[in-house]
Amino acid sequence: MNKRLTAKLKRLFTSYNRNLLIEMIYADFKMYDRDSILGTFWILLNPMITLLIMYCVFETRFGHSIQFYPLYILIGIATVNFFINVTTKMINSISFNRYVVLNSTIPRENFILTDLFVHIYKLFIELSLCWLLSIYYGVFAWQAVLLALPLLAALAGLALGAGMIISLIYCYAMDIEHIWRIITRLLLFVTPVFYSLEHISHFFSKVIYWFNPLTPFLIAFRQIIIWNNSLDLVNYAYSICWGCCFLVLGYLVFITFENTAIEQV
Amino acid sequence: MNNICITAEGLSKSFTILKRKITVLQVLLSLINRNSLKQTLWVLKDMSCVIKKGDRLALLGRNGSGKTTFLRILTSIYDATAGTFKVNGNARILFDSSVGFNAYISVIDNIYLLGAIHGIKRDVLKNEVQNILETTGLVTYQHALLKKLSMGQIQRLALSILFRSKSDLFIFDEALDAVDGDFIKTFDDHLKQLPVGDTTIIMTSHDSAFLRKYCTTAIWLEDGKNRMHGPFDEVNTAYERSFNT
Repeated sequence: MNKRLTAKLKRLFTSYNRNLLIEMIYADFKMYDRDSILGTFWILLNPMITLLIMYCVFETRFGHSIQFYPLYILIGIATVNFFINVTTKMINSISFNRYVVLNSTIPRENFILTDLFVHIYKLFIELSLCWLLSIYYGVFAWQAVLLALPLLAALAGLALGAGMIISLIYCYAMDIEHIWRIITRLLLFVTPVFYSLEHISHFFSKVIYWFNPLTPFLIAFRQIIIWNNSLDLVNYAYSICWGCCFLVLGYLVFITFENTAIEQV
Repeated sequence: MNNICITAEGLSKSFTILKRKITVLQVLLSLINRNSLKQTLWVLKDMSCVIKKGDRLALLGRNGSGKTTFLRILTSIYDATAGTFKVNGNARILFDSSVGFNAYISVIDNIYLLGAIHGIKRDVLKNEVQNILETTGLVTYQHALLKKLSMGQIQRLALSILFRSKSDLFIFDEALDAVDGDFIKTFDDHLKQLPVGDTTIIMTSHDSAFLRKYCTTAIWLEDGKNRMHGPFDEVNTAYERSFNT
């Protein structure tokens, strides 16, 4: 790694940047529900409506063979929605903040990181709902919360890495926004949100497991929250690997091309 | 070497711009004819200079002469296409008074936000907030959203926070244009508090009277090149004469 990249990597961990990042995140949170009367309620409304519709439509087809089906769907919705919302928000992080980027020395990854934290907060609220449901079903376990934390960090890393790459691509070609909207819409169907891998053919279940990075996350979250005695460690490690690889790759691509990308916007 | 703040050696910067509007047809034609739709535009060409510590330097030049690009390279916002530079010290920049502020949060929250951008921590700034609000005349606005402030009030607030940061190099790129008498007084007060001889200031402005008041040296940039570097009055006279020839 050359000197310039090392310097950029170092700047992320300086006390100046830590302080700045905290203030930017704080400002983003302050802005988040500034004019909202119902505030947090809106975070819950979207997954609840999606859950209701999916439950009504797919309950007779898949619900009988899946235990605690509403909880099963809700975990899927929370995980996939997090990835979709974060990456969609990050697409134009750099171009939207172009004026600030060109007229200040704020590290550009801060804009992307700031976008991440409000969505992590939303994910925590949605997962709290999952845990409330798990208490209702009598399957709640405290150790599950601890096991979920590294998984959440890896999921954030996956979204962040993907977000960094597409935010750069957006600077060169805005078409990525349309392409990404199509991909994220498909994600709800090519990720086992309302069905399980056993419901589809062996070939497709392999494709969806090995090529869709969200699938191992969903499986791991469900094993942790619903079936807390049957955690597949290989799948758990596989999920963490996806998160770490995307984060490292996304960050390296970002710091390598950020300066040329910003000139394109 | 200790009294050098900035050295630039052969700095050049080019941008790629489109020759004509891109359409699918144009792209196809350019592929067939092997003509590129893009061209290279050199904004800064072989720019070299040495700026001493404690200098109050004005960057003069017409629009598009490369002033902003030069400053953006010095602050690592842009990468130079060629050449090298070294900045000794911690640069604090004000390219636009409203940059870094968030219009949808309160004035107090914005003080902490801009403070963080200029490297001032919340616990340090906490003791200064009241003073900042009083000197900028914004005590009654402290909980109002920033968007309720006038441009002049935002400028005063930005400056008041900027000068509280510990820095030995301040760069202003046309951020001080179109300011009123109150603002000039605030700016004067802040400048007086800076340690003489240690703090370097670089300014660009199209208001030569404003620059004359604060700057002792100047660089005249023309077509991305260092046309002249020397005492302000000498460079400014030559620059202004160029308009008549």
